[in-house]
Amino acid sequence: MDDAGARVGPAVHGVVETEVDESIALLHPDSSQVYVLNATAADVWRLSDGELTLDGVVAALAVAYGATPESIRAEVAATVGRLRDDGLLMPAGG
Amino acid sequence: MTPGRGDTAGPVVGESVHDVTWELLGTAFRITCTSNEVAAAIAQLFEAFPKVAGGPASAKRYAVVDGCERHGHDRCLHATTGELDVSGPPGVALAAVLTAVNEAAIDAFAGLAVHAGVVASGSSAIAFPAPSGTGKTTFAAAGLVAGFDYVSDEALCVDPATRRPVPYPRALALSPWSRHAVALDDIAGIELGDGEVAITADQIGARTVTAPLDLAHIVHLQPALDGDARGCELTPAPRGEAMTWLFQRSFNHYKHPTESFHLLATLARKAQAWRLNYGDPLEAAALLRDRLG
Repeated sequence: MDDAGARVGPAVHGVVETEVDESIALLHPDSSQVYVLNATAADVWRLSDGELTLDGVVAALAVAYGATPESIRAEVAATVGRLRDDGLLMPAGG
Repeated sequence: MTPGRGDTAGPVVGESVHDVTWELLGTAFRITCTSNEVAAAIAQLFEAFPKVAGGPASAKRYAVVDGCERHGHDRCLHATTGELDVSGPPGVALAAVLTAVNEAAIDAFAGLAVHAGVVASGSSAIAFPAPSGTGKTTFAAAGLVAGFDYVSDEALCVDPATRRPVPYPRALALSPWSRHAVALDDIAGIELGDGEVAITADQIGARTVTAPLDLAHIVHLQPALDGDARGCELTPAPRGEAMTWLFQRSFNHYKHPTESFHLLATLARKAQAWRLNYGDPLEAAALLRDRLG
């Protein structure tokens, strides 16, 4: 799936978040499951506010990491996919 | 009413001659029994907890009956609660009482309880969250041998008001393998059936903590498989992972998920997180003592 033009996020209503060092911990409102994002995934989460597209998130992170968009695109897309699959981010077009 | 008769679900036969109430994690447990031998064992099992005078009406009640006329046995003990009816030798009944009281104490605890062993050095607690059967009690015992104070082999219990861990120093139930692994074969504990023996921190020569603590370290135990005689290694881990370890082992976060989530995050932020790979629990506990104690 390539939803490069779709907006990423926002968070599903009711997801609770808190920072623990460089990680972000998320509490799913329905399952009470806790997810702890590593530093990279936490950066993706912070940018997933429903305003940026996937390409926008990739571009912002590429600048932050001093990397090329091509080199990080697959990992960012996979992270967004997991966050959507876990019900933490709204689905693409949702 | 004779204590232990008439208000419990199962068959309770005989007069109770011992009647003592202990307080565990804020809940009173009134335990009656008819046998001097069983009474002495129960007193030892619960010696780390304060006694409550008068047996309050709110206390949860348990009865252990020796010499059961109903079954016609010379020695037939029942541990009877609303959910429990156990017959067998004394150890089986004692184990059943320990299990029932433990589950009820954790269930009634008003704060957050995480399945973990906990030892302490001064006012600093070291918690090692882990499920049953992964060496938690064995490692707690090893910690006491290494010189740590005893907090619990079962649960990290966090007081909801102070947000600090409080001790839950139940007797340690060790299998023959565990006793041997921590060189405690010679201590005369209380038989619980299937070779398991309950021993107290005092019997190991360790001090039992009675005051609230600060959670200083969260350790993820990674014991070697049987026969793997690797050495010990203690390595730092991200605090975020420690929060996952705690949450995965929580007994009761579902009661107040958001509050528990923030409380565990607070605990994780203040503590240091570690992974401990080890083969020999005594060696590993000594390493922990040197590095974190």
